[in-house]
Amino acid sequence: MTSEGASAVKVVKERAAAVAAYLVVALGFYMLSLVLPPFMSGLRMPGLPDPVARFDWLFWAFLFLLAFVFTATAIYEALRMLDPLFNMLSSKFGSAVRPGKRIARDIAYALLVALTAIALAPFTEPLGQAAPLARALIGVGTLLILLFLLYDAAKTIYAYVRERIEEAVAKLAR
Amino acid sequence: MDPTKYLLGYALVVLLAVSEAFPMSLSALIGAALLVAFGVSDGVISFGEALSFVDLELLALLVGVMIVVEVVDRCGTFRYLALKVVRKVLKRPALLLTATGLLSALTSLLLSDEAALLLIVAILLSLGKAGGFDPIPFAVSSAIMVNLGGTGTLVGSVPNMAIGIRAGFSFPEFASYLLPCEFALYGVTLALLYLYYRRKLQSSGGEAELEEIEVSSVDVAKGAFLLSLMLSLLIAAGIADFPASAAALASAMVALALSGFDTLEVFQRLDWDTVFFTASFTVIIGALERVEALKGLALWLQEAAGGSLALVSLLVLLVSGVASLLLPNLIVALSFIPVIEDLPFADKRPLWSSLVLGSNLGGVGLPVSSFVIVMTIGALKREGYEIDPWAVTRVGIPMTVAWLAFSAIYLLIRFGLL
Repeated sequence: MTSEGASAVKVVKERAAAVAAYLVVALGFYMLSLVLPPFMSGLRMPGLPDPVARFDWLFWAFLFLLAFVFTATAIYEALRMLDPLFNMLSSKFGSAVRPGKRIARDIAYALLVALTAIALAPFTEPLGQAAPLARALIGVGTLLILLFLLYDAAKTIYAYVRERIEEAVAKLAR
Repeated sequence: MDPTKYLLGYALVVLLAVSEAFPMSLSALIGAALLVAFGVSDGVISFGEALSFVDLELLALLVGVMIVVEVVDRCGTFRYLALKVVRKVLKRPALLLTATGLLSALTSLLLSDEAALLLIVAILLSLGKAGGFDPIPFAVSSAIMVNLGGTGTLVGSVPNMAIGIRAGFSFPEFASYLLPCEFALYGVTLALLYLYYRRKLQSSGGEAELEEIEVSSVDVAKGAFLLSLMLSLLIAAGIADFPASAAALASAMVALALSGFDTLEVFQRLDWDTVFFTASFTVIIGALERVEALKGLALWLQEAAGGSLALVSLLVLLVSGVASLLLPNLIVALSFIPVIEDLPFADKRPLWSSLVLGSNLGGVGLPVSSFVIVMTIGALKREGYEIDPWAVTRVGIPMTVAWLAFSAIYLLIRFGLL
């Protein structure tokens, strides 16, 4: 395994553990949000409208918010885990090229995958009853690859634009 | 028949080739496979028909010329002549610029642009290393002249072969339409290059020395003979109304038999990428023609020019010239061929000539469209010279504009379109 590959595996292992931990905590808070608030039903703050006057609702909202924050963190960590995987895959297609060329390649590969799917679809007819399944598999496979390529193109555009903006800001600050 | 997916297949090939995702040949093979699959499933093309779209006459001409040129190159003829000429004018910068420029253009009449440039730039760099000599103006000029060279003959470039074969031009006929324009452009270009670089040209001051020529005179003579034979056979084929491809293949056979070089080694060094690209791309164009996807461009040209042959010719020159700025010129030439065939003019010589000039002359404006620019900059940088990546473009863009403007005037006069 290359050093790039080994470090990617390490990052994936670390992030996967973090994702699992955050999800467990989020699930815990969600369970608490279902169990604990009924114990406070009947307690109300005077002079405020529903539902903010109800202590059970306020407590539920607090626990649910915590569950939401930890879920969002788990999603963020999952994306961070996917990045090295995407980088490993996209390096196979030549990530060491200029951003413009990389975006052009991503678009070309996306077009290639989409056109290949269109070209293959009619040739599934002889499969008889298995044809719809074959077409569905082609469709799902195409969609997954397209999502990966579009993600890579978007990431490249974001990195490029951000770099240019940072450069411009640094120039202006001088 | 909705041609959208066929046009997207064509766009895919262009995108794959321009982004260098795959070699040109593989890009075109993928595109051809997709378009044939579309055609078969839509019932408009059979696989056998798709194979018949491959232009075998063009491939025979291409491979025949490649074999002869490879053999002549191995004989050392081009290198010997180049060193001889450069040695004569070493101490006179203006003459050196003219000589290296002309050598670049004339060599690229027969060698590929890349091979011609490598030959001249290698000599210029060895001159630069030898002492106090700035090779940048000479190398940039050579890149520009290499792009110009090969415009005027049937075998000067692959686009020329493709256009010439489909137009039915013989070697002499092709040269009679376009060689005068090419020679005139040599003069215009060298004058402009001299004006641009006159303050930067330096003499070697007698210090620079060129390496010894290590080729046998027998090999040089053999190469010169084979080259002359090919040109004579091509001219004779034109006069006798015989296919140019047959003359090229005959010359190739003689070259392989007489040279004594290992035939398989010669075959290995041929530019198969271009051969397979050309074969596959003709299938793509054939499929596009079958679904009438290119008719729109022909109609647009005709309507935009109001049916005037002069205006359509100038539009073809302009559109193909601009397209060649952005795309490989072989793609431009092959794409425009069916468009010209669709145009309803009895005399299409001005249109074919416009396409030859447009597709050949547009390629030096931007690094993305011209491998010779990238090669020149790379070679200079490897030798430690500081060169701005846009140095060639700054000269190339105005030069392209001047070439296209000159060519427009030439076409109007040559074909009596005024």
